Amino acid sequence: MKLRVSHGPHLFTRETTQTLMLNVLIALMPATLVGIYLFGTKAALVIAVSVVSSVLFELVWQLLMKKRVTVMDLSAAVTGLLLGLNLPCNVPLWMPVLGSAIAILLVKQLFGGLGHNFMNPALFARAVLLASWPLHMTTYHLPERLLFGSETALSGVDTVASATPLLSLGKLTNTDLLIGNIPGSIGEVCKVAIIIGFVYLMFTKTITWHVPVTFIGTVIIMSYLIGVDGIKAVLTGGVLFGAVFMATDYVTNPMYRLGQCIFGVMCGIIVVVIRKYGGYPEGVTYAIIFMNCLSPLIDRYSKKKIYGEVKKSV
Amino acid sequence: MSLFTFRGGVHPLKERGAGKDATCSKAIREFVPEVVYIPLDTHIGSASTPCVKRGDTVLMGQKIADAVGGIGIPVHASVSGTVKEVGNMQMLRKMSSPYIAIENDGNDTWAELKPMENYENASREEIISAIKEAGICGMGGASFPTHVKLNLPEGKTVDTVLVNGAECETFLTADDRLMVEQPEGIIKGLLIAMRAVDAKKGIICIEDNKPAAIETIKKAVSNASNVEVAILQTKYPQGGEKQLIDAVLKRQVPSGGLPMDVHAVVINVGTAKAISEAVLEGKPLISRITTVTGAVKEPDNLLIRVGTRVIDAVNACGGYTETPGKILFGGSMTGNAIPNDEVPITKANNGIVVFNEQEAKTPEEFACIRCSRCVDVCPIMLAPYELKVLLSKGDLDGAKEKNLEDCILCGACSYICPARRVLTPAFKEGKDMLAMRRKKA
Repeated sequence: MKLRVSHGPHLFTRETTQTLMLNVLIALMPATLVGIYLFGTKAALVIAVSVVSSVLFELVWQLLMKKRVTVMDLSAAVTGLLLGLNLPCNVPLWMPVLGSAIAILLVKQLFGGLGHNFMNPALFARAVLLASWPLHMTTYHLPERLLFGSETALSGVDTVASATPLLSLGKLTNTDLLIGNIPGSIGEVCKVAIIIGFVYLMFTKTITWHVPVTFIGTVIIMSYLIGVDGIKAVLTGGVLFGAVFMATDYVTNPMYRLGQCIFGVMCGIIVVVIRKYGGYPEGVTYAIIFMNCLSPLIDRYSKKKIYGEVKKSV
Repeated sequence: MSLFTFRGGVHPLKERGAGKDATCSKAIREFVPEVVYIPLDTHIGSASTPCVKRGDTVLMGQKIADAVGGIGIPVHASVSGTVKEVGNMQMLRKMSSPYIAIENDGNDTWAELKPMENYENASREEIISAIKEAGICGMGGASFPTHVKLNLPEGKTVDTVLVNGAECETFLTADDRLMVEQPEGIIKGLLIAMRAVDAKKGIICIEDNKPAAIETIKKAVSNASNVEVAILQTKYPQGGEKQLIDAVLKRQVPSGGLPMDVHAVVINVGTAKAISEAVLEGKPLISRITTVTGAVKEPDNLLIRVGTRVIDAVNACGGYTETPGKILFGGSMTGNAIPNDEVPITKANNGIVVFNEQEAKTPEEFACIRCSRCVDVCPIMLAPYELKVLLSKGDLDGAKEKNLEDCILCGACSYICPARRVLTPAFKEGKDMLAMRRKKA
């Protein structure tokens, strides 16, 4: 009789990298579908090109480098979808392709593949595109269709030449902001869809509350402190999307829950500071990738006290 | 009422098939094989030296091998009959382990037993010596000789003896059934152990998924004023010695220390029962309760003789349901995989768990995604992901610096890892290498 001999444990949780990534994809579906509804086929195209090119870049790289092909872990698909949802619907289609190349090849694979990138690949790609082609990246079209109604404060305007209409805050109702009848990146406009995704991620225990709650909470409090409506501050721009889907990226945020709270608070502070004093109207992307770089440092100072740490008295 | 517990931990019982349903209501049933192969070196400490030879007639409970060294224990015949063989075979940890095979005459004739007349007046030394003579070692899995554990060095004091009835491992119900069916033996064993270490208090600790055991034990302790019952939250590794002490006594065993450093001693419920039989009836440890489950036809709790081969125990439970792929001594978190089904059971073997070929497969390892789950569940608050990186680089000193030696090898991190990182086995290897290095130095 041949029996397998190995060291324990001999039993594992059902959760795998693949199921976690699948959970993220599922959680992104409401935002994706509403985005496509609002912005039409061109949005669908941007998303599709982004996802397919991300997966292909990873596949081709791994084949060329004779590495184990791991596209089935779905992490490249998640990166591609996140990138697509972070673009305005009217970008030329070479931009999601280039963004995917930056995300997958430069940020992820060159640093050693999944788990070794020190910044969120999709966000860094977005940052590069934003800095290199600001006109494409900040020209937002109003949705083709609107949810529950046909009029918003911005009706009649074709495009808004600024990142998400932070500048025209006063004119929009919270309802428009919540359901996404505003110009913006494909995935970030409909806050309700993002909140549904957040609930799903919490319910499946894919993420914990630490990063999103501290991030969003800090933005609200900080905004009120500088005299801005905190709720509107969260309902505009990419705060909600960033806090739920980008800052929660396992690889690039701290390992310890305490560290994750510090990370979230710092992200929130930086967002509000950039919005108030920075040259950019929106700062979520930069806040998160900046804090990504600080994660190792936060990890070093937020370690847990180990059991029985007091050394044995000799 | 709030339940006792510790920080971290996992819930492997919720996994399909890993629960205790198959055997938790199966009453203990005795099984005696035709031949026993009694292992001589499965306890911690030196192998015992045979004091019988081939052809000798032995009685049940007769000593067949002498203790060697300070932490050795003697071994006794678990059946009456004829010594068939004194030899070596591949067993648990080693390629070649000594054993004595005895052909059972079927009479179960006891050797002369010397019960202690009045243990309440016996000295600590007398009790500990009786425990040693009975060949008792920890029956929860670790098999550390009990007389060593109870023999406190100069200057150490113990105020509480904890009886570990947590049984947090998957699959196993042997301790549960023992508590339900023989609570008196456990309590008497506890009182004797308390006397041996001069402790004022005894606490029997049970996880809240064993309501029947809690009820019987509670009823049985109602007339012992210095014994309490602590109900623990069901969570793995709640039955870990350090976790149990932390949960119930709110004390942390110092890094590198022993429970006695915080004035506590922990013994398994089976060990407590064995102590009471040894002292009150003079019976050595020759049988124990073992859960036989998994891919067997009729999963059961067997009162089984030490030295019974796995295949005999499995056949006593109706045989395999399908081709076994892996057989564990113990549960699926910390159990040891055995090389073949001819291996005999030991004094510490609380379970035989049979996996089919599908369940036996080792999952493929992927890259760490830094999901934080391992640091969340580690009951020692270590950083398993970081230790793994250091060990794969061969940086043993770095791992030591990050407290690798405090790892209790519970397997919680490996269990929870979505990338199926080989964590616990790597830590075991690292700890062994550090121990070897210390020995050489």
